[in-house]
Amino acid sequence: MPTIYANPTKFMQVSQPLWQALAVSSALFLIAGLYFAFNAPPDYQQGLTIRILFLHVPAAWCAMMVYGFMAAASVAAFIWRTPLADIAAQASAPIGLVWVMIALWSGSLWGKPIWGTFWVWDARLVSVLVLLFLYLGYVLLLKAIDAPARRNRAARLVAIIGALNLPIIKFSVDWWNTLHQPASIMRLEAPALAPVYLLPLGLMAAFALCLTGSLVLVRMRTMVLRRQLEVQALAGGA
Amino acid sequence: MEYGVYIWLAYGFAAFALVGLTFSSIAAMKKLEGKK
Repeated sequence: MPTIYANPTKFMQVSQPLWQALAVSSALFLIAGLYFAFNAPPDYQQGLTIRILFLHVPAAWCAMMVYGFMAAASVAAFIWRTPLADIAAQASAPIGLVWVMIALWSGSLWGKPIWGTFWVWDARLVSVLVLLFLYLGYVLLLKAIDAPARRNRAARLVAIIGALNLPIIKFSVDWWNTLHQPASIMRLEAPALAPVYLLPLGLMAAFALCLTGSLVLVRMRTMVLRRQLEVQALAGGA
Repeated sequence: MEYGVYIWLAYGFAAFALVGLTFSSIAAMKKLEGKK
């Protein structure tokens, strides 16, 4: 990792305009995404419930990407011992938790009219449920351990070991017989989704990515500020 | 097919969760920026 990005002072300078730019971009993508999502024609099989796809799929992508990011940051923290890597992983967890909750909730509401049930114990749904528990475990672990060094080490281990679940989620629909459909976008062949749905999906995915990036930076800045204030308070008290 | 309630429940929960997360995150940062 280039050390310049691991420097908290430099990070605070660079992240200020960046989080704002990402927040504005996410708002613009959201407006355009919702416009096209709610004006998309009904699917020939699923009718208007296809609109849930434009929320469900980006939420599931972000839930997985954020966990992958947390695992990568945790590896970086182990290797380079930079506090900013731990901060990046820990700041991201609540955001991934919200995305996985949205993915499960919207998927369940999509399942009822299309599958006839809110939930089935198939491999894709269960592996995403495991991701929810990993996020919950990670967030609770951060609250449970007071000693920073022990907390950081335990959190890194949970993030890295939990990342083994990501390929299971991705390939669960290929490895097992699932009610959940196989990949229709992230695959080697052309997307199976009708082209008319690709634009709203792309816009909503761009919204989700920009919002995630913006929130990760905001939460990282909050954690850096908190540490700087703690150091100031200690220096003032000494 | 009238499945509007499922669509609105899905988007409604997402809006609630994302707005809550966004505003609480920005408010926490602004509060600390004010102290610094």
